[in-house]
Amino acid sequence: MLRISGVSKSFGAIRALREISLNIEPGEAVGLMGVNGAGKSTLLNCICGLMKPDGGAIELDGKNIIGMAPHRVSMMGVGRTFQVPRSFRGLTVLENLIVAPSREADREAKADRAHKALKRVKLDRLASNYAWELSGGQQKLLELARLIMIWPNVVLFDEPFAGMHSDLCRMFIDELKEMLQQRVAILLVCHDPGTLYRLSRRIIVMHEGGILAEGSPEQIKTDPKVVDAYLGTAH
Amino acid sequence: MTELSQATAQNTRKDAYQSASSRLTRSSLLIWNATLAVMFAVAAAIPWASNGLSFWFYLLQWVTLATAVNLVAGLVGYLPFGFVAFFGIGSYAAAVLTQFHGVLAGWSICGAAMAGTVLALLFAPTMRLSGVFFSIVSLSLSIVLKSLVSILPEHVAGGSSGVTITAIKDPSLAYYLMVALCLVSLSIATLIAVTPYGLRLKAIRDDAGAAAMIGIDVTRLRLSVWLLSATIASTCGGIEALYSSVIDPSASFNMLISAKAIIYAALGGLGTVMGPLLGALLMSVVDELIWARFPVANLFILGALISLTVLAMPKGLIGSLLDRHPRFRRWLF
Amino acid sequence: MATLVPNIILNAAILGVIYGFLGLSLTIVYGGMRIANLAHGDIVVAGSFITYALTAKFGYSPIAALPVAFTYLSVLGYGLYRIAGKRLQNSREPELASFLFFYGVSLMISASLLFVFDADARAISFQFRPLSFQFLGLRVPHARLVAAGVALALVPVIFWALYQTIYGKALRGAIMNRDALRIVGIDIDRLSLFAFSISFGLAGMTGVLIALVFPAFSPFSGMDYTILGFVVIVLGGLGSPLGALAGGMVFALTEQLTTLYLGQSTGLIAGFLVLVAVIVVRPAGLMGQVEWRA
Ligand SMILES: Nc1ncnc2c1ncn2[C@@H]1O[C@H](COP(=O)(O)OP(=O)(O)OP(=O)(O)O)[C@@H](O)[C@H]1O
Ligand SMILES: [Mg+2]
Repeated sequence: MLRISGVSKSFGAIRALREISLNIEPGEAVGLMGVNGAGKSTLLNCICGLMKPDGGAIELDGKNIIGMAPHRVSMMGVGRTFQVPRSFRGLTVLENLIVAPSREADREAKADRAHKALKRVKLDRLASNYAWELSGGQQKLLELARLIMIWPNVVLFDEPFAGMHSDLCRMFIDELKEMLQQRVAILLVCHDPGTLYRLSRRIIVMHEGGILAEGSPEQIKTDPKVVDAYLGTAH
Repeated sequence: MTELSQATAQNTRKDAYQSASSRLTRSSLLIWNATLAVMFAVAAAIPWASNGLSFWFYLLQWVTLATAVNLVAGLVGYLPFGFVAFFGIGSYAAAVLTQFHGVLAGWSICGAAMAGTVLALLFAPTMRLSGVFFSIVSLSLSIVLKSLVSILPEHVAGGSSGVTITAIKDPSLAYYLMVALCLVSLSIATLIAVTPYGLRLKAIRDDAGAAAMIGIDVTRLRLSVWLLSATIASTCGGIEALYSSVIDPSASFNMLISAKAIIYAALGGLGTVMGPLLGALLMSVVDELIWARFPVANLFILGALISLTVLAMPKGLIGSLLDRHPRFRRWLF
Repeated sequence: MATLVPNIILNAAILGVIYGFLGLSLTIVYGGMRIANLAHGDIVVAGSFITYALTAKFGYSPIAALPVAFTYLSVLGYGLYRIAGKRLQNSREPELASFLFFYGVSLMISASLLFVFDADARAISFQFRPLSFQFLGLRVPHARLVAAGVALALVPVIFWALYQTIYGKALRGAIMNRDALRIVGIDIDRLSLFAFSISFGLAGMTGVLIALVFPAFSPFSGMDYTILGFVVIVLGGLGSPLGALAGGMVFALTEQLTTLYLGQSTGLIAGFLVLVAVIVVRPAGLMGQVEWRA
C-alpha cells in the first residue's frame, strides 16, 4: 500500500535520509526506532508532503505522491500525529475535530461523530474549551481524536507515547490495535523498544539517516549492530 | 437513572450541533443580526438627521477597513502593514476612471474593486513569507506603489499633485455606497465566522502545517481570503475618492491608514467579528473627542490610550472577554 | 560624472554605516525578545532633538550629545521595559502586542517632541572646521566623516559585547531559544531589561549621528526611521548583527546609486525593490539563519 524506495533528504551538509526504502501493508504496524536525530521525523515529513525529498519515490496505492501538496496527500488517506502535538489553539476542542473537511453534508452527523471521537479519548468534558487550555498530554489525545475522526488508511505516529501517563498510553494502544484490525497501515515512531516489540511484527532501526537493521523483534533484539548503536548493554 | 443519562446524551448532541455552528446559539446570532439591521437603518437615516455627514462617512470607512484587515490579520495571521496599497489603488482607479475617462460612478467603483483584486493577485506570492518578513515586504510594496503612482505622467494619474474629481460631485451617493459596502463586509465577516470556511481559516492561522495534514487546502483558502480582503479595501478606497473628490499619492497611500485599520481591529479583538466593529466605533469616537477636548495633548493621549489598552487587554476587548469569561463564548464572536 | 560616482559611493557607504547602526540597535531587541519596537525611529529622532538642543541652545559640540542622548534614552528604555516588557513578552502574541504598544509609545514621543520643539523641521547649526575634506579627488563633509567614524568606532564595541561577553552570548542565545537559557540559569529578565535599555541608548546615539548626516528632522520623521530600521534588519536577516550592517550598506548603495542614475524619486523605490527581491530569493534575508522547520 505505501511503498518508499530510495528516498533521500539533506539539510545543507546534514544528510537526514539516505536512500530509505520500506513498505507498509494494510493492517500492519511497522515500528521505527533510532537515536535522536536519526531522521525518523524527517521521513514522516517526507511521506506526508510537508517536506520534499531530494530523490527517490513514495507511492501510495501505486500512485506517486512526491511533490503533491500536503492536503492532497492527506485527502488520499494519510494521517499523522506530531512529535510535539500541534493543535489549533484558537479553536475549541470540538472545533479542532469538525474543522477537517469531509464528504458528509450533515453538520449534525459530523458533530456527533466528533463527539464520539472525543469520548473515546476521554476529552468530551473539555469539548467547548479552547485548545490552548489543554495540557501537553491532552493535546496528544486531541491529535488522536482527530485521527479517529478522519480515519485515514495510513497513519504515521511520531512518538505518541512520549510524556503520556501509562493509563492513557494503554488507551492509545487500544485505539492503535483497533486501527490495525480495521486494516489501517501504521508507521510508528517510538523510543521504547518494549512497546514497539509488542505492537509491531516488523521493526526498522534508523541510524544517521540510513537503515541500520530491519526485522522481527527477535532479530532486532539480538542484532549486534543495533545493540551496539542503540540498545546499549543494558538490554 | 437511564432516563437521566439519556437526557444528558440528548443534551450533548444539542451542544455538539451548536458548536458546529461555531459554538453560537441561534438566539445570539439573531441578536447580532438584529443589531446590525438597526445600526444600518440608523446609518441610512443619518443624511436627513445630521448635517455633519463627514464624521459618519469616515466612521463607516473605518469599520469597513478594520473588518477587511481583520480577515487577513485575524483569520490568516498576517499583519499587512502595506494594506493601504489596496485602498490607494482603489482610490486612484475610481478617480482616474471618472475624471479622465468619463466613467459613471457605479462603474468606476467596480473598476476600483477589480484593481484591488488584480493587485492582490500580484502580491499573492508574498504570502510565502511569515511574521515581520511579510509585514515589512508588504509595507515596502505599498511605498513602492505610492512612488510609482506619483511619477506617472500627469495625464495618466495626476502626478504628484493628485487628481481632483470634478466630473461627479455627489457626497450623499458616496455615503450610501459606503453604507452598503460596510454592511456587505460585516455580513461577509459574519458568514465566514459561522461557516466551516471560517473555522478552516482559523486553523490555518494557528498551524498551517497541521491544517494541511487534515486535508485543508492552505494555499487556496489563504488566497481566497486575501483577495476578498483586498477587494473590500480597494472598493472602500474608490468610494472615499468619490466622497472627498480630491486624492493625492501621500494621502491615498498614507501608512496611517494601514496602521489605524490594524489598531482598531486589534483593540476590538482580532479574529472576531464584533471586535473590529467595536474597535472602529469606539476609537473613531474617542479620536473625535480627544481632538476636540485636548487640542495640544491629543496625540499624546491617543498614544497613551492605545498602549494602556494593549497592556490591559492584549487580545482586544472582545478577545479578552472571551478568554477570561467562558460564558461569553456563546454570545460574542 | 567621473568623480561623481566614487563620491556617491563613498557617501552611500557612510550612509550605509549609519543605516546599519540603526538596524543594529533594533535587532538587539527584536532578535532577542521578539519585541517589535515601532517607536524605534521616534527614539532616534529624540536623539536628534537632544543634539539640536545642546548645540543650538548651549553651544556644545554634537559629540557631547552622544553620552547625553545615550543616558536619557536608555533611562527611558529602562522605564518602558519595567512597565511593559514582561507583560508583552508573556502575552500569547508578543509580536502583535508589542507592535501596538510601541505604536502608542511612538505617538507619545512624537507628541512630546512636538510640544517642546514645535512642528517645524530643524537642523543643527553646528559646523565642523574645515567644512569638508578633500582627498584623492573625493570630497567628504566633515560632519559625515565624524558620524561614520563614531559609528565605526562603536560597532566593534557592540560586537565585542555581543560575541565575547557572557551577556552578549546569552542574548544571542535568546535569539535562538529563550527557554533553554532559563534552564541554564541565566536571569533572562535582567538580561532583557539590560539589553532593552542599551538598545534605546544606542538608538538615541543613532539620532545624534543622523542629525549630523541629514539636513533636517522633525517630530514626525520617526516612522520613516522605524521603517528604515526594520527594512535593514529584514534585508540583512533577523537577529544577525552582521546582517544589519550588510543590510544597511546594500540599501544605502542601491538607494544612492539609483538616485544618481534615474533621479530623485526612484531611489527609495529601488531600495525597497531590492529588499523584496532579496526576501523572495532568500526568505531569511542576507545573513539570517534559514528556517527549515516545516
Ligand atoms: N527542518 C530542518 N532543518 C534542518 N535540519 C533538520 C531539519 N529537520 C531535521 N533536521 C536534521 O535532520 C536530522 C534528522 O532529524 P529528525 O528530526 O528527522 O530526527 P529524529 O530521528 O526524528 O530525532 P528525534 O528522535 O530527536 O525526534 C537531524 O540532524 C536534524 O538536525
Ligand atoms: Mg523526531
